[in-house]
Amino acid sequence: MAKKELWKGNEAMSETALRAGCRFFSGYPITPQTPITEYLAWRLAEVDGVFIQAESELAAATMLLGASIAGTRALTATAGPGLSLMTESLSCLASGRLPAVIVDVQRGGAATGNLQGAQSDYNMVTKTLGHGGLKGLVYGPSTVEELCDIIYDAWDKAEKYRTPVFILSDASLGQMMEPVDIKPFKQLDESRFDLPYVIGREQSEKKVIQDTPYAGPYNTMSENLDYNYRKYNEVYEKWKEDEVLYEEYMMDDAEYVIIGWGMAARISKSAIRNLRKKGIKVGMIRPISLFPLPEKPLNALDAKKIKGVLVVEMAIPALFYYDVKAQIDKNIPIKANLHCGGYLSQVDEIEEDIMKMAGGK
Amino acid sequence: MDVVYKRSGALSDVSTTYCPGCSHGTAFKLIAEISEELDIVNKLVFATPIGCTTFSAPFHKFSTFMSAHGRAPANATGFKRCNPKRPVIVYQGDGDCAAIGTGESIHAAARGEAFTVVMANNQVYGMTGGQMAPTTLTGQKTTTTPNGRSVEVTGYPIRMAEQIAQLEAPRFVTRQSLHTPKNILQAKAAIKKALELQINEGAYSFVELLCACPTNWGIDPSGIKEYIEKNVIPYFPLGDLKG
Repeated sequence: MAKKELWKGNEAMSETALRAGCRFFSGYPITPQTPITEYLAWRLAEVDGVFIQAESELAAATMLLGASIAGTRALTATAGPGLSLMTESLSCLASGRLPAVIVDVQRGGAATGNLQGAQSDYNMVTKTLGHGGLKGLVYGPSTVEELCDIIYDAWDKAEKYRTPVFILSDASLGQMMEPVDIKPFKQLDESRFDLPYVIGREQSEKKVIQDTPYAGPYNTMSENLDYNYRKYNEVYEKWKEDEVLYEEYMMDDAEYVIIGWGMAARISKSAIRNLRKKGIKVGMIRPISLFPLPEKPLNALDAKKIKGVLVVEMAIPALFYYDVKAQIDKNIPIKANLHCGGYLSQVDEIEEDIMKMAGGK
Repeated sequence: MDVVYKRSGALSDVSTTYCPGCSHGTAFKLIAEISEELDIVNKLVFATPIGCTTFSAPFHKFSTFMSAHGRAPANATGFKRCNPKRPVIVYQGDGDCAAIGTGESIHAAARGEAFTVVMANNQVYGMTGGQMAPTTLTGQKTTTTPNGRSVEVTGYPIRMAEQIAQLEAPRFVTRQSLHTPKNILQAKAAIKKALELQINEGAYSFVELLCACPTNWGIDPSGIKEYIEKNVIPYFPLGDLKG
């Protein structure tokens, strides 16, 4: 096994993206995403990649479309208001079925907000990518290593399914240092320039790359869109079988279950260890894929055995909580521990909430 | 008998769906002829905007990609940087290029992206049915300026070629018109020059074309020549602005 090195999340992810074959980055400076843009500004040049500091997040995300149509593995990253501007292109990527990877280093608050970590963009990317109601794969890692693991495979999945892949990082994950195993370079072969959505090198027969699937077996656009988006939905449904990722932590004998993702889940693990020392049997289910949401382990929670569920989330109003609630047996009591605006989840509060559920012991 | 003129082989064997008197078909014909003359029919990539040319791909034989409204220069930036050997024409309307996409237009030009922008300036939003464009002339009636465009309320029409020409990177910036045979030939020479500069020198160029939209102007197509000479050219003067 390679020796682990200490890396900051944003930079480890950027280096891993490059090693996964990413050769195009367009971005616009915004805290806490900026270190990604700065890192790739010099690093992509070393591998003959393309780096563009765009004039806005609107343009940055649009450039992904062109890079993807050229057959290049493309990345952008943003935070906060930048995500709002990118949604137009997220819709085009999903509808045009163009592979690309987008990272949101989430920050607190709506509008201008602040610069600390949060999970408030959950609904915005898991429910629909921009206008039109389409989907992409969405991941919510909780360690630097996991962030790297996900981005290392992100383009393989993006190209396999012809979909945008979205990674929800956050300010704390982006800036913390952790030991990681930086992975080897992937070698891509030239056949990628013949892919159906790629307008190839030098010259080619006529290809028309549309951001909306107008072509189909019917005579009207409406019928063809209905037909094609139905097919897209079949892919999304299949992800629920094939692309679900989650971690179960201390679940074997658990009577209380914390459910959280990303940084909230990571913080909750400290609470679980403290509660275990007090003899309270707490475990955790931690979704890593947020779309598709791991429904089966949530459905499987047994009301005869589980005395309570606590959803820990850094978003107010609650977002993820309602997705969990919809999957949990209605006979299991469920509560939420929420913070937002850059106010991270608190270990002592999580412990207190579980203690209350356990009868105030 | 010698063949002295024929339909360009780079056009598909279909009729366009444009209104009588519309200039888009003429512009496509010129681009098709130039692509044959430069032997780039299977190399040229056509980046379409949102507007009456969104669904233009069936009319010609070029590989094409669509963009969201105003974003074609950003989309083309991503494409051309990753695929530098394909010549690219970004074809935009005035609303696409000079209103919703002003940021993308100016910054692609400022970076000197290696593609050619052709902006069709017909002073109106055609596809949506004749609303005010950034180029709508003072006093011109549109569905959103029913009493005529007022400078007090909406300001003045934007001369996009002049905006682009004041930037350092663009190699060739010109405004041409498609309202007479002579002007059509001059426009063709300009587009050809822009494409040659792109292919040979990797240069950004901007060709603004004065186009007609008699349907939304509310005039008979037979009146286009007089309308453009009397109303449009005085505000949008023809000629090279740079290069």
